Amino acid sequence: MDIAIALAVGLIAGLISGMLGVGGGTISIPAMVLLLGVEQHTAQGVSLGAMLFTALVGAFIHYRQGNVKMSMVFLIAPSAVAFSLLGAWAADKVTAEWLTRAFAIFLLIIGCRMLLFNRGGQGVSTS
Amino acid sequence: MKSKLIWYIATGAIAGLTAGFLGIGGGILLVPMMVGLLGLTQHKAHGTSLAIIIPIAIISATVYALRGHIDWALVATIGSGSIIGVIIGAKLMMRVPAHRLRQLFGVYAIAIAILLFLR
Repeated sequence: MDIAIALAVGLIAGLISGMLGVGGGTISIPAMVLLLGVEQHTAQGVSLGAMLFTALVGAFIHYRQGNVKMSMVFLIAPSAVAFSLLGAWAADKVTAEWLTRAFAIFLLIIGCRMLLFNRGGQGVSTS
Repeated sequence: MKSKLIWYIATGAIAGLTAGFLGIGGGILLVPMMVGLLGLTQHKAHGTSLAIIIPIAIISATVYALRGHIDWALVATIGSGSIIGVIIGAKLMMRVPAHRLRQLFGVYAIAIAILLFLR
């Protein structure tokens, strides 16, 4: 049963990931915590591990469709990687309870932003 | 281009920090920042975001694994499900209006946030 849930969670996270260019962690982490009872830190670690496959495959498909701007990857990735190390280190210092709260607050902000400041009309290919 | 270098570094810093701390890829911040600050089109932002997530995921997943915060069986199951999902999603992207998706996602995010608080 848990395996079926995990597969379904992955499938949905992947779909959203491919369509919105996100990693899918906003789907898989709450699903693991709420449905599978996984501890917050572990859910986050699993999310990052699973996301590697999603990002590799997704980036490759988008690249073939001409939708990866390599110069921007090289400009952004170094600081992104350096600061993700800092973030991952900091997460280890926080209790699971507070990490879940921080995660929920982040989701709330993102959700409000997406509803209130949603640029319309860019869905059809603009590139 | 050079004057904008600071914006590239800032985009990476904010997305990277959140990615590592909350275990997300950071794409949810990368995409709007690349579109709003760096002038990338929406679809190119999606592809570019996923490419930037690759090194972020490798490095932060390693840190989590070293601290013992990982479950490899779950990584394998969720990972294989999401490979199928991302293939379908990336192909659908060109046909689905992104602002509709974001509306849907906005509702989802708020609902999940409330569920996590109530837990």
